[in-house]
Order: sequence, then structure tokens, then C-alpha cells
Amino acid sequence: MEEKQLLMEKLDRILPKVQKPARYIGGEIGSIVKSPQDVAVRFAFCFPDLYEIGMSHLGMKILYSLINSRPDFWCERVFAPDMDMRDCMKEQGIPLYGLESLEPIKDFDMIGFTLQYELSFTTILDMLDLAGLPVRSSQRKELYPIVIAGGPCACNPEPLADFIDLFVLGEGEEVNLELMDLYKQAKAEGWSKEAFLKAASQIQGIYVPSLYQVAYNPDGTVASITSEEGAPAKVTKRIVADLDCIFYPESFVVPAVEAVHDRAMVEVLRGCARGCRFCQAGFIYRPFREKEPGTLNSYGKALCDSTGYDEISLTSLSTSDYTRLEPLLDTLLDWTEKEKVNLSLPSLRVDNFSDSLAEKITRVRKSGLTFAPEAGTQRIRDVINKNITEEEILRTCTMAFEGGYTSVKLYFMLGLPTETMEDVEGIAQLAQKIVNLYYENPNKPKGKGVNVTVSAAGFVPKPFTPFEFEPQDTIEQFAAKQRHLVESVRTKKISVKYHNNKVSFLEAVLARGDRRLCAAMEQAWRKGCVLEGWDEHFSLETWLETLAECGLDPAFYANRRRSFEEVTPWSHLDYGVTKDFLIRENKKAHGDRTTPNCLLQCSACGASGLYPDGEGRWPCP
Amino acid sequence: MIPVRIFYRKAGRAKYLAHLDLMRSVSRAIKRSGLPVWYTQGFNPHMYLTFSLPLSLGYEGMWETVDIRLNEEICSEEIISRLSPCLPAGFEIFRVSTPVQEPSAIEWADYHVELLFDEEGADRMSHALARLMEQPEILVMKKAKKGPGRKILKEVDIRPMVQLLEQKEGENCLDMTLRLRTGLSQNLNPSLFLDALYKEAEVEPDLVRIARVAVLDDHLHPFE
Repeated sequence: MEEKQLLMEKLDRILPKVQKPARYIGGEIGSIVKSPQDVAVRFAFCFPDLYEIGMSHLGMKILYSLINSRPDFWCERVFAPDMDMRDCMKEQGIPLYGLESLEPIKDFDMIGFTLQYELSFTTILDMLDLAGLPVRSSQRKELYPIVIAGGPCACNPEPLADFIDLFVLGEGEEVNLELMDLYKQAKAEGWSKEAFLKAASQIQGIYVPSLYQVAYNPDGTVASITSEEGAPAKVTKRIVADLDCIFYPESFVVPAVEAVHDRAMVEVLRGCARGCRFCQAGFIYRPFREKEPGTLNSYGKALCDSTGYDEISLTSLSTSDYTRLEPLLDTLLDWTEKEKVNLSLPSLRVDNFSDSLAEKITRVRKSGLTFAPEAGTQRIRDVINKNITEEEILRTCTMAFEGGYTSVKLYFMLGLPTETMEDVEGIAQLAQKIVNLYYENPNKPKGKGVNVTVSAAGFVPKPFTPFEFEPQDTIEQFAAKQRHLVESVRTKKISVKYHNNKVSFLEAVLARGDRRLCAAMEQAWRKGCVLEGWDEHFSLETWLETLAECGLDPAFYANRRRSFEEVTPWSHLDYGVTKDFLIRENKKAHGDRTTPNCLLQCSACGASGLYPDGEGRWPCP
Repeated sequence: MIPVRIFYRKAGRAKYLAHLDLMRSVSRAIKRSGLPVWYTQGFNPHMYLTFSLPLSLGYEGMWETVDIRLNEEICSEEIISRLSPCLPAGFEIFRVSTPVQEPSAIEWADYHVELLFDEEGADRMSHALARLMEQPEILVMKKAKKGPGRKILKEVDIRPMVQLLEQKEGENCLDMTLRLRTGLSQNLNPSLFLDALYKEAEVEPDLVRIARVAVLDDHLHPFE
């Protein structure tokens, strides 16, 4: 108790000096405070980025509520402090603490990180260090705290293999509780850390990197990955078989400082039926599973009642693919209009955006419209299996303009496999056609111009996608394509935004990296790389220097084509989709051939094998 | 449409909630409470919410008020009992009543200021305070508005805007209660006076705690 008073006093000294101090004091509505002596396992859920980013993340909200639904567990939230706070904490000797108890997380039982993007990896090391813990797992000898990590980037966790004790692959709802139950037993019976990790490796979905040996070929590629101590040769990710029955929170912690996504989020489906070949999420979250409209409606109502939010977002990888979207919207609109609650649908696709859908989502409030054609020409859209036509894009924009919209935002990627400069020009031409459409609309609002924003990201090839074999464009190639795109635009009605291609390059290095990157990761962090998702803190130069010192060539990871036979650093991990399927899809991409989506025809990706009873289910045959 | 004034204290962790975040938190709390709150009737309906006197970030407030409007008559006890559990940690509603005065009636506010020192300095600060209060004028640079969107620094005499009500010196600390001009016409933030004090003392405290303990009209009666 006295320690906590001391911390509060230390915080009172520094909080008046930092930006947005409410990020560091907890006490928000919906946060769960328990008594330490009443719980068996304390869990620190760490998001390796700032509060306003982390508090937007649905996965954290689900797992936070789930763990706290157990009376013997207590889950707290921890975010990376911003630079000003970080400096003050170091100066005052304040260790990283949980927002619920304001107690140091180094004394917790488990510390869990969510791996949402590669550029947050160094922040994980920084948070461990701020907590007062050694960053390397081999230097943390005790059973507590066990440092774990999960989330999308866990599908190739090798660049973090030396720092994290175990990774959780796939969906966490069931496996996290199994793991915490095992930990509870280990703690009660006084197991060693080694004994716990060995036992944990027997749970499906748990990957303990220290139990795997990686051998390399003279050319630097992986020769073999072998398991030890009875750990499975291949770790299979976990899925929740019956999505409709799985736990979903009835309450969220309502952020004190406005988060990026600050609204009630209802997850309508998991997985994606599409199969866009660049999209990692589209493959690693398979199979496609939906929830019932009635279930979703009751979640939405419960969340609005408990949080006071006035906006519900229907979230998923592709919400307009939800087969019962219109009935769901009708049920929701029954009460949301009365209660002044807005509905928002991110991730709309142009091929199934109907008039009545547009009318329903805009009944409460009108906002801008965002679509992702991803590529400017039909040929590249076929290469990436986007499965939308120019006609569909234009038809949707016509509908939007007739509905009174005056601005459209379009997402594209540069550097997609087989892309030529003509394909880059295609982006500008498509945007121009949309501008022309606006002026052809006889009912366009008087005196108002159109605004088409083209946002072009650099393509990053990712594991478990058909493009995992592909080289990334070099920084110079990206720059040339960006210049060409800007030069191809001939009107001020189109504004072009593009990503920092140095960032895309480092992402590509880390996304398909192996364990040898761990040394560079630690060095780069020691040289000050932290919060790298923020442009002002990102320095590719530091990384290049560090990689060279470690004898590693970033181009080997980013810009090299892999043969189909090569052993990948993630080949001991099984996400359902088979390598044979990825190879088939890659070959089709190079032949400009598309694959129909899962709802139309099964392409035997292998994900239905993840169902625990071994039987495939709809939509897989 | 029934106007209601809610009186609350904002202390502990809640003092770090900035004004915009506070507005969002309170409007969500009202929504959560299910009180039949009145919405503006425009194209984009929103809850009517007026804070009489915004409080600086990091200060505690003991006489804070927010005005809302309800669609039906509800007794004070019920409003308190429904709204209180919906507020973040550190908020405490102590009274609900019909607004008596307009926020423009506010003329003064009392602040309790606690200056803490890791080592010596309290003594020096105390002497500086005495010297400062004896001066006929205290000139400070104050941000002022000059037309829309333009801000300039202007020298002002804040001496007539400050009264020292109480002062207490302890070991490594100096407590004081200040009465400062507050409101629409004339307004003095305690930090301006404290900066002048630190300058006079040539020392800065290691920890400062400030609480607005009273909000007063021109008769020095509590704002109601």
C-alpha cells in the first residue's frame, strides 16, 4: 500500500509535465480492479504502442474481459509510454506498471504482448526493460514473470524468438485460459520455468521457441528446424470452432483519452472468404466463420448500455461479406436510431455495396467513403485475386455521388508482383475516371468540387500468403513508381499520398526474418529504436548500420525471390492453409488467373482441417 | 426541458483528465446512466452539456459544475444515485439542483496550493510570498487575444486579482489559500501567480498540488 502511495506521489511529480497524462493513470469506466490476495495469476496485457492505439484494439478488449471473467485471474492493461513519459519514468525510477493496480508488472505472473505489426517489436524490448526485466528470455530464470506473445505477427515470430518465452498461435479465447490454468498449477506446485515451458509446449497452439533448433545452409537459408524435449515438430494454430458461442465482452474499458477507434465494436465474423493474395489476414484467420444476427444485436445493445458509446462499428476483415448483413442492420436500426447511436461499417467492398446498404448505413450520419481497389489495372487486380472489376468500382462511385458524397478515398498498393509502370499509371487513370464521373452526375451538389484521395502503400510480402515467395521492390524501385504515379496525375481534384518506403522495407525484412535477426533487434533497440511505427522515431539508417554489424543483409530478407522448395523460417508453424495451396495460388497469380471466393467454390486451402473434430464445415466442403 | 446543475468534485486520478476528455467522459456517463437527457434539435443532435468553469489539467476541483437538460422531472437523489456509478474514478457528485445563477456570475475562485520541497526552499518561498503580497503591483506577461485567432503576450498587473487568504509553513512545504479573479471578464490562472512567486523566490518546488476549493460570485457567495 505504501509503495503505491509512493508511486502516486512520483506520478504527481511527472504527470503535470507530460502530454495527455490521463493515459498513465487508469481509473477509466469499465476497468477492472481486483484484490491481489484474491487472485492466483496476475496477467499484464501489454500493447507495444501508445495508449490511444492500444485502446482501439478489439483483441485486447476481448481477452481482457475474458481473463477477468475468471475470479482467480486478474488481467491489467499496459501500454508503451510516449517519449516524454518514458524519459520521466527512467529519471524518477518508476518501473512499468499496470493501469489497474498501479503496481510494477515485473512482479506479475505473466506478461503478454500482442504482435500487431512488425515495427512494434523493438518497443516490446523497451517495455521489458522499463519493467526492470532482462530482455532475453534466457536471462529470466524464474517461473515469474513468463513473457508470452500472440497476434497476427506470431505467424512468423522468429525475429523475437530470443526474447519471448512462448508464443500463442491463432485465436486466444480458449488457449489463453488453458495456459493460465497450467501456470496456476505450476505456481502452486513450484515448477521450474523449464518444466512449465515443456508442459506448455504440449498444448495445441503454444510455440516455445527455445525447444526448437534452427540449422542454416551456407547460403543463409534455413536448412532445418528440429524440435526437442517432446515439443511437436509442427505447431498448429488454435481456432474457435463455434464462433457464435464464444465469449464476447459486454463491457469495454472506455478510454479516458480519445483513442483512434473510440466506439463499441461488434465482431461479426472471423476469417475472410476472399483470398486476396497479398493479404496475410485473409489467410491466417481462416476458416471463415460468422456469428448470428441475434447474438450480434445483443452484443451491440449491451456494449452501448455499459459504455455510453454513441457509435457501433461492425468489424471484421470484410463486413459486407456477412451473409445476413441487411437483416442485422434492420434489427440494429430498430433501437439505434431512437437512442441516437450511429452505425459504421468499415471494410466495405465495391462489388456488393448496394443502394439499400448505403441508405441504411447513412441514415444516421454521412461520412466519407473509402474503398480499396488495391491496383490500377484489371491485370494486376487479377494477379492479386482482388476479384473486382473497374465497372464495379465505377458503379459504386456513381451510386455514392448520386447519394450526395463528394469525396472518395481509394487505397492502392505499389510494388505488387509483376507490376509495370503502365500498371502504376493505371492508378491515376482510374482516379481520373472517378473524377469525370462526378462531373457527369446531373444532380451533383452546386458549387462543390470532388475530392479523390489516392493512398498508395508499398507492398510487403508476408508469410502464409501466396506471395511469401516474392521479392519486395527495392527502395529505389518504390521511389521511381511513386514519382511516376504523381507525374501521371493531372488534376488537383486527385491528391496522392504514399507511405514511407523505408518503413515498408524494414517491415519486409522483419516479416520474413529468421532468428538471426534477434541480435540485430536487440542492438537496434539499444541504439534507441523504439516506437518505430511513428515516423518521427523511425530510423532505417540505425537498422542498416546494426544489420551490417551483425553480418546480416536486409536484401536477403526483403528483396530475394524464394524457391518453392526453400525451408522458410516459419515452416514449423501450421496455420491451416497448406504450402501446396500457396504454391498453386502463386502460379495462378503469375498466369493472371483468379480464384473464386470461398462462398462460391472451395479451393482446398486446408483451413477446414483446423476444426477440432476433423470435419470440414460450411463454407468448406 | 428541465435545466439541472450537477455539482461534483474532481480529485485523485481524475485531475489528469483534460477538459475535452472530461466532456466526453461526462456525456458518456450520462448516456450510460439512462437519464432522459435532452438533445439539441438540429441536423446533428447532441447532448446539451455546459461546464461553468473549465479547470486546468492537473488541478483538483471541489466545486465543479456541469449543466444538463432533462426531458422529465427527476428528483436530485435519483440523479445522483444513477449518475455516480457511471463516472470514472475520482469523481463525486455532491449536489444536484436547479441552476440559480448564470456562469457569467462567477467573479472569484479560491485555490488551495501546496508547494512541496525535497530539501530546503519552503522558507525562502514563504519570504518571497510575503514580499510579493506587499508590492503595489505584480507585473507578469500574460497571453492575450488580439482579434480572432491572434494571440500576443501582454504585460499585466495581477496584484489586484490576488488575495492571500491563508498561509501555513511546514517542514519542506508551504500551503496557501489564494483568492483569484475568475470568470469571463477577468481571469487569473494560479500558475501565473505561482510563476511570479517562483521568480521572486528564485527557487522552484519539487511537487505542486493545486485544488480549486470554492467558486464565488461578486458577493463572495458560492456559485449556485
